Amino acid sequence: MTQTDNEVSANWSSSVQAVATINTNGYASFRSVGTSVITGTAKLQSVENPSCRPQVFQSTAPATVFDVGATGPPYIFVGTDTNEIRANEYQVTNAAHSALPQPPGGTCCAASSDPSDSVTLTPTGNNPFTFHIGTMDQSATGGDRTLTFEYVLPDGEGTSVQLNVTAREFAYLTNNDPGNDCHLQYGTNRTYVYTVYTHPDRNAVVANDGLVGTAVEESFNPPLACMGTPQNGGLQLSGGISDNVGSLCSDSPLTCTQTTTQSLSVAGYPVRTNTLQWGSSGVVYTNNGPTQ
Amino acid sequence: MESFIPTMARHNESFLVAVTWLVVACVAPSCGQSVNPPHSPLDVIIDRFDVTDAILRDGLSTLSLKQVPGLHLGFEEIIRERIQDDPRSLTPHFSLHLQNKTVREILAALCDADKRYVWSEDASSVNVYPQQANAERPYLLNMHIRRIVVTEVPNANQAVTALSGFFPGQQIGYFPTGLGDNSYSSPWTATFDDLSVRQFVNRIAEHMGPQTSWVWEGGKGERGFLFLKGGFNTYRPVP
Repeated sequence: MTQTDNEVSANWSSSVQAVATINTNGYASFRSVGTSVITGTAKLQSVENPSCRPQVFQSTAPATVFDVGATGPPYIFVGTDTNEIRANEYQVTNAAHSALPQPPGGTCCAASSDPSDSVTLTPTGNNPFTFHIGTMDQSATGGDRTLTFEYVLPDGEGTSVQLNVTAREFAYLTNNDPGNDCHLQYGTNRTYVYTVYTHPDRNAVVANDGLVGTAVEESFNPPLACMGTPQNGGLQLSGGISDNVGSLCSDSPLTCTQTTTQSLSVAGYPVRTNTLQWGSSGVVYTNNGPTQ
Repeated sequence: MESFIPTMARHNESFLVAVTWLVVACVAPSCGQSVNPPHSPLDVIIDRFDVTDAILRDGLSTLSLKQVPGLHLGFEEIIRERIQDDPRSLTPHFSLHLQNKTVREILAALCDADKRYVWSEDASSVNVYPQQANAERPYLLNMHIRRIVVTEVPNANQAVTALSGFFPGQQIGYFPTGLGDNSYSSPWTATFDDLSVRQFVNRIAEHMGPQTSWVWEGGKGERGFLFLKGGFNTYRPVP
């Protein structure tokens, strides 16, 4: 196809019509994933001296149609626990998240809008590209963190996709009101089941967040005197915490008395303090918050 | 050496004395020297084992947290005068820095560091207990059980309550697990005949999972068992 005037004629072509076509005006239409070489040719013909040989100018450039997307949770968790880092996982795929990014053969990198965040390409090779994000900075507002994933072909052609996420920090707990499970004559044994909430979103951690095993620790001030050593644990499959609180459960009377403050933390972030008061009838439990 | 036989079991005393002798013999320290089948957790090599200014409980805690598959560890701490007494002020301190040693060698080193304790094997469990236990009468963990039944118990705590009332004058109790877990995968019903309390407690712990630990601790009149899947923590002063 040719466009002419008195001095110039120009034409365009596409090497792979299935990928891109180009009309007489030079406008390209992209039809499917792949790379096509677009060639533009201009011929300059002297009007004053038509017998002169025309000057021909030609240029080529690749034109690539990408099919690239990124998939992962709309939030990341703040902290360095390996279980959190594993949960903060994103994959670079096609837009439908059903296959690898297209065209194949590219490489991938990722970055966060918070320069202190860590981004690690997991050793899964490129099938698919999988990144783990680490952050120590909680979001100020929901969705204020941007993750950018770039996909670049060997010829340098590339594209990027972005996801806006919220960086959630473990902040507070809610709990049930358990009964006494001590079936001997003296003492109490209650299993508190906590739901973990984060800031800034005030949403609960749920099973699908994949945080099972994230470190949960307790400490006591002053140190425990009326029972054994505090035992640490991890977030459960549900995303919550189970804490078995009590005195010695015994078939003989209790004499030990103490009042102490229990501090609970998730991944090192304080989420709750309770006052525990040991006496002859067991433990009295008082929630000191935070509650939101 | 003689162990306490509960009144309810005396109808067949001669038989029980023989069984008791066997039980006591098998929890004696020499059992710790026996040949183990291949792949015993006692033969697992630990790359590094380091404790500094530690008491025995610290060392056993460190070992229990090494996640040795199949290791079931039971520790009977010397019962203090009062539960509030600080075991760290009453107990020898030591440091150990071991490399590429088996669990067996580490246990031997720990019991050598605090010679008040010995260790032995019972089925798939390893027990560390006061040497004096074999001379102390009556010592709860050496006592003999003719028959004991646990029915539909959901966790190790409820299993050990079956001991309450078995031995007049012996206080029975358990401590809460805190953030740890000692639940069973499903309610457990079992019957045991002719075994020591120590062996019964081992069976309770082994049923929790592939690696477990239990600690018997506290003060006179306020002592109890702590059962945990995996290892157990210890109080360590902040360095």
